[in-house]
Amino acid sequence: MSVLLIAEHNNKEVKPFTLNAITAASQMDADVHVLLIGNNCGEVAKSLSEMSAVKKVLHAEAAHYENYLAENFAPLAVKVSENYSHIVSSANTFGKNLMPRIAAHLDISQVSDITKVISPDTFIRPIYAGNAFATVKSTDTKKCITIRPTSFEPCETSGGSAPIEKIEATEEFTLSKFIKREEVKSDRPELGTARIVISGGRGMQNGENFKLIADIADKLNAAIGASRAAVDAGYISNEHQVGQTGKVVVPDLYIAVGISGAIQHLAGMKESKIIVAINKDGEAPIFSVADYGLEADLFEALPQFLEELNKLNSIQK
Amino acid sequence: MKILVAIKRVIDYNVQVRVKEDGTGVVTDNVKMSSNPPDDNAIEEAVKIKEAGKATEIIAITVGEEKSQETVRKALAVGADRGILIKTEGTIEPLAVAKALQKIVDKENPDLVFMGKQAIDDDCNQTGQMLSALLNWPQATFASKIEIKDKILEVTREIDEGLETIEVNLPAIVTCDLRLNEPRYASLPNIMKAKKKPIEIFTAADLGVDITPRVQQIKVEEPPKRKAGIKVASVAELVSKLKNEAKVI
Amino acid sequence: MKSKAKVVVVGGGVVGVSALYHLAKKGLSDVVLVERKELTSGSTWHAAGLLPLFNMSYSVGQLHKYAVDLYKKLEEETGQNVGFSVVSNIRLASTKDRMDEYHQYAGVAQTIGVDVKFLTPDQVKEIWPLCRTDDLLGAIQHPEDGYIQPADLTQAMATGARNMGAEIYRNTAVVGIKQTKDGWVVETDKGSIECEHVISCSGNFARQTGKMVGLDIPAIPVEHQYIVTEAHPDILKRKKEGLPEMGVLRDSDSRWYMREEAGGLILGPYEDGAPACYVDGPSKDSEYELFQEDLDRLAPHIEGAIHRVPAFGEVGVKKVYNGAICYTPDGNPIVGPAWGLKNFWINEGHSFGITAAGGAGWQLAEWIVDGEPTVDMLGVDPRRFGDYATKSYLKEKNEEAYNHVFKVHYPDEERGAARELRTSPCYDRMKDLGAVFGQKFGWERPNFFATDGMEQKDDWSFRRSKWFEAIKKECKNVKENVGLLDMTAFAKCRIKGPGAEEFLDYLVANKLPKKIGRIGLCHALNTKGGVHSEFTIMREASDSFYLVSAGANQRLDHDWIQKWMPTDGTVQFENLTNSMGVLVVSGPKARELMTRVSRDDFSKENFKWLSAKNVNVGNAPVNAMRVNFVGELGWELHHPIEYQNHIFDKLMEAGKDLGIKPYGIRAMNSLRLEKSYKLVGTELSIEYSPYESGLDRFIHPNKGNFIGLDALNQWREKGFSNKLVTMEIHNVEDADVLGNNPIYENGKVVGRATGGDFGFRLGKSIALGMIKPDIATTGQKLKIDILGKMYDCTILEESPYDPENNLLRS
Repeated sequence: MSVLLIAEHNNKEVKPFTLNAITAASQMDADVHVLLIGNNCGEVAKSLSEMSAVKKVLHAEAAHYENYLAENFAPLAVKVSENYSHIVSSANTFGKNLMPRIAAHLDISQVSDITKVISPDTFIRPIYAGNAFATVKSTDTKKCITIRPTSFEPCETSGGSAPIEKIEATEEFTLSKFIKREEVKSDRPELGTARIVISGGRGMQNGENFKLIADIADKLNAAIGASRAAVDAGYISNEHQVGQTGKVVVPDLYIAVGISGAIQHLAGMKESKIIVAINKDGEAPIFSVADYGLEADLFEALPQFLEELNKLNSIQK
Repeated sequence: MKILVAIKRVIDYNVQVRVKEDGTGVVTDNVKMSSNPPDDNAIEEAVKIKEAGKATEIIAITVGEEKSQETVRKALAVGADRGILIKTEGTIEPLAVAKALQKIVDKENPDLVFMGKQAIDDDCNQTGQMLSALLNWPQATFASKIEIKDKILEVTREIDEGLETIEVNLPAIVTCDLRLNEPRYASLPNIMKAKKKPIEIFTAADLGVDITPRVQQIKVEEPPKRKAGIKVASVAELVSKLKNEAKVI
Repeated sequence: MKSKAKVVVVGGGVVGVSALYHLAKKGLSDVVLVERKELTSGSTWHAAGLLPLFNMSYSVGQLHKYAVDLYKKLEEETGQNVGFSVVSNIRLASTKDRMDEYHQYAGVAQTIGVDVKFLTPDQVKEIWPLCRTDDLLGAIQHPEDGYIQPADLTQAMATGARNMGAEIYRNTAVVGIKQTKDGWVVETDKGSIECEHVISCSGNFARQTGKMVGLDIPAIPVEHQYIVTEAHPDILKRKKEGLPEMGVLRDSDSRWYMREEAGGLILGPYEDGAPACYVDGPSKDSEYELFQEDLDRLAPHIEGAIHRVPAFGEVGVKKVYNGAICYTPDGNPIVGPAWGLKNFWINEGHSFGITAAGGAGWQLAEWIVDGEPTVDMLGVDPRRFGDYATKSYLKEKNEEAYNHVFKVHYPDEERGAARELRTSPCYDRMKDLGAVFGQKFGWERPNFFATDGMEQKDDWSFRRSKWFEAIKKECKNVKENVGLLDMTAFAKCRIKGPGAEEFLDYLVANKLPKKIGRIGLCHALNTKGGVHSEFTIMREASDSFYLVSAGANQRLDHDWIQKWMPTDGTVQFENLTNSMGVLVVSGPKARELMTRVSRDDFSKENFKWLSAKNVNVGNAPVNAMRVNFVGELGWELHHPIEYQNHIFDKLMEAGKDLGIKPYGIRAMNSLRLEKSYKLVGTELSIEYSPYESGLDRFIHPNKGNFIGLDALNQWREKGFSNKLVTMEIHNVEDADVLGNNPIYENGKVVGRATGGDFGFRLGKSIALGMIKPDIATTGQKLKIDILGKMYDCTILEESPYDPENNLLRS
């Protein structure tokens, strides 16, 4: 059995969740081969080959692979998949978009967003926004699996020297065309991988007030999250959304400010190691998952919080 | 233009889902069911396109038990013209749904297929992509904005990094994000009228599709319970606990 | 969590929280509430929040009025807004019977002090421009009512309760309730609480809570839906222009309520076919639960709503709520002491819980702290239902109570679900003789007899209807010949033992009959001196007494007796209700009839009025009691029930040429009014002292101590505010007094009728009423309102028919 791991990258660097995916892949079988599809991504191939868990890198290059359209990536993955027992990728938007297309081409019933590998054919995955966990067994001979990155440790980035094999590109799928991408750049840690996340909800009342959150995020080197209500109300842009249909995060510390704690938001953060809730409504559902709850007016509490942080001699980053 | 919209009947998003004591699944008896919220966005988008004069027919299709017809009726009440139910019993996997939908696509020849990006019960997020693969059509997933430019769609997609815009040739599959539009509500007269609109019923056997599940559900469990938390009296106490007790800062 | 408290309230919906609040307000700070999940998470959270002052019942109406007044004051008291929109409530009428109902109701409202106005269709249009009014007859408006936010109301009362020292334990489930010597122990999943009193306010879990203490609580919920639409431009426009909210609209004949909500509308129908739910209780994890909607069964009401308010059909449906509402067989809540258990209180079955919570909490607090309620709570007493209220009975009856919410509540209605449940042996014979039955406490009783080609069917109305002629014949026959009445439904019991006489002497205000075989009419007062129960007591032996009281009050009266009985074994109680039948013969030929069927001596000399003898009728043993409720020569024949048909056949056979005919309850009511005979629940109540009700000769304040004596004496010193009078109503055409009619003098309300009918023996339309004592003189002229029209009336002497009781004594 060998596992084909499809790497997510931006042609210059490997994207972080690929590392988590590699770990998951290696739990299915130690023989992990990474499929790298891109354009001018030699650097990426090199970094992948240096990861100890990676046993081989399959490298394909073409101009039409530049922007990772699923319609272009899938045929190549299908072509290469023949001798692999598992095809794996991370279950972020890249993998969610791509893997089912590969699976359908191969007539495989995909298993999405697993949080644990029990055995090469048995996995645990969340359903109903994480209010239940299903243990499932795939009976297909080949398996297509996407993994929830926050449930697996990122793999080691050194200690390996895997061979890099060049493979031929497949034809361009001309019916789909990439136009543009608007990435929101930030100095802050990425929401999906940050150790600390501080999120604002409807209680923030407007976008300017998110500065109170940003100041604390700066101090803690935290990522900024938001509830769907805050995003829908226009306080902050969508890539900050944490929840069932947004991002799932598992930081060491999650601070929910002015968030009531609807089921859909909890789905995105309830696995956080420590949860803090700051809300003036003592009966808000968020308090039922909080390890530390502070019933207070956030407009008083946040400045106080920053003040207290400033008093500390050192803060773990 | 003919639009096919695939919708699913799921446990209502407000319901507190409970795991059955015997671990065979979640409690569905007497539990409130509704249409899958992103599917409502899909129907709404189709209806808007029709109102703009760019589509002539909307077909709402669902794959599921007999009662799933309620969801199709809702779509009919909001503006779909006719409905299709592919009747099945028990669990049905996205791959099987995609295969069944493929047969209907072959029959109906729509120019556009909409559906929600994921169902809030199994959270798979696979059906649209799989159907695209089976048809070898372009796929535009997690759409938050759609513009029709004659035979081409310009779609803005919600991705981890922000927003991505692509162009796809029709026919195409689009899976819808919640931010695509504001689904309208059906008025009561329309709800009543919808009862008279036709819903064709097929079985998987009628379509020649094998829907046997390939993924066995071994058991279903509740998520591990969190330890009970405490309320702190002040910000100072909070910070002290985070530093000294939880040791996270 | 405390381990000891004076009172534990089980259940944290609006009803439980109100109970807690009122206990604290009454001065008890050592009171706690336990709630299995979160406050309001049962049914309170999804309630539409309407506050109907409208209620045909005098007791329930008072509870609702109290609540509406209280809710207005809560924000000031607790600092929490309850979201009370006092937008008024309009009830529409499209039929004449509905207008009659409203007029009858307006009388009740007058007597409770609730403000209600009659509106013309045009006036309705002014307030509700979006309402179609051309096919309406009229409407009534309650300016003081409206709607409230149920969760906010509950939280405000919770805050109020906490401020006064009460404690609330959430996420604490009750797993058992055990009785102890001094009270109760409430066992929860977080520990036990010893207490003196327990109040069950567990809503959808009522029967589960009842089971913990061996009670079969007669409440099972029913599904109720309401539809919420998105905003309508016309309503938004009104808001923008600063126009007032249109108020709660109820189209009674179309059976729904409607109000504004966030610029759109809410529609809540009470349709046929809504099923009972949670028949075996909700699941143990249930919270904030809703059911699948079913718009199909609402279809006729949706059409009716769109007809009435076209705007409703013009906007989209945002959400449909389908949630459980508690119900009881008659649609009124059960509030009061549990039967057979000391200090266990029931506050369940609330179908209008948001409104009733206030009044129910208020009266329960009075009851627990002062020992008695201050309002006549008979209409909501848990003991008004008996063992016959089985689970399957409840399912049928409660579904019926639900779909009757908006049906016209005729004074003589007899609902059809779960009938023919308890029948006396002569049921079929009565049926063959033309009986049209009603039920009381589950017993089928002939209401009247359809003879001479009249259809064997009831005819309900607020006015005289088809059965008026039927009872006219029955009354005439009782006056001239002899009538036969089945009163098997009477509550009967035996009190015996060495301590029986002392106990009964303490229980009632009258002197007990001294001689064996003598009968006395005795009243049990409550501790505040009001009249609780009326008993006919016959002394069987020096240490044995046979008690008879109204069938409807069986559980109430017997529970009262058993709770006051000494526990040292010197008094035994035996319920004889189901083992004894009662047939009553009354009329001038009654003696002749009895002589024909019995060898025993029924002569005037040897069988005096108010005495009883064991006789044989045919071959059956009978306890013949020379009393009856219609004021004629007659006997109540109490017999072991298995002999009933034998006795019945003998009487009917022997009485053929005497003109014996059966008569029913409605005729009996007309006959008793002519004698000014009083009934518990109308002329007799805990709100009236026995002196006010004209029971002077049955009260002996100097005989020694009895329950309520001190309070009665104090009351007498303070002065009485009512006096019972008998009146003749003049120029009545097609409607007699029904009860609750306001009585006027010089345009001011001076009293209310307690009952009325046409008196066929007198040939007058008569009524009994409670009025101010200073004008309660024979001959006094007053006015009375019958269905919106004023009539002159004159006060008659008591017992206008045969005032000297010559016929009774003959």
